[in-house]
Amino acid sequence: MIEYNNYSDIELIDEIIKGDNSAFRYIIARYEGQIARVVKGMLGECAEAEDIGQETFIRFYKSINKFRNESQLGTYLTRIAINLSLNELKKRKKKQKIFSSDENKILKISSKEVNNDINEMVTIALQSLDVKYRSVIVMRMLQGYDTKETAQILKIPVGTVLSRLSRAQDKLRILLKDFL
Amino acid sequence: MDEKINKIIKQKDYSFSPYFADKIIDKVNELNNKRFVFSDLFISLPLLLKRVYLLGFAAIIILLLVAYFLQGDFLSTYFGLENVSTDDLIAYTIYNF
Repeated sequence: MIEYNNYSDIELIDEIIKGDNSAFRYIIARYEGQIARVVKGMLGECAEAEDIGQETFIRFYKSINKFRNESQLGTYLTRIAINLSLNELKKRKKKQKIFSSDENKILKISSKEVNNDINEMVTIALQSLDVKYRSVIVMRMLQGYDTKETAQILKIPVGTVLSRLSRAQDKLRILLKDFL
Repeated sequence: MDEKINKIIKQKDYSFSPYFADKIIDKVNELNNKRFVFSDLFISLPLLLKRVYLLGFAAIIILLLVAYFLQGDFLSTYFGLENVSTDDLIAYTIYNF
């Protein structure tokens, strides 16, 4: 098997198009963490998150010939992942399985059941945010995109990103006050 | 950006299960196998039809030649005609309807 460690994304894509699936494994390894942050940030720790993560890479594989290298591969994959996550959240909402957004209830859970586990607390805090705020937090805080990139990925104006970010931070400040 | 919140949010471990890449590669291979079966069918179908068509055409020629050598005429065999009398033909037509 060829070692592709030093290959750029576009070189790896060329190899995949030629039919070498082992090059695809390198793409997955390179962006798995990034996609996990998006999907798990949006959906929380659940079985669907893993499925959406896989689906993100499979969608990319299916449309690999359409990738024009106009945006960075990480951004391209993030866009697929965020869209799939938003679709999943819509499905959840339809099935009325969405988590409650009652902050008081969540704070109660945090003090009694979470036992100061930062991982669980962050998950609960993120899930308690409205989807529109959560997506901005995931893009800006977890992925590290700037305001303009976040606006482009989420297809919303820059001003909206800023206002949503500010409101989301206010909410998180309340939810995570024990850890601040 | 609130640095403290940022730090806390980033502290969380975000990762997929250990065999995440293997599962994707398996699905991709499955996808490629399905694609192969379909593309293979579309390539081989015209070839298969060509063989059937050639064999059928050869069989017709052979049958006509056999009819010609046996009866000295292959047109009546080709059109399904026989030397029958008019009465027989009328009776055949009447009794078969």
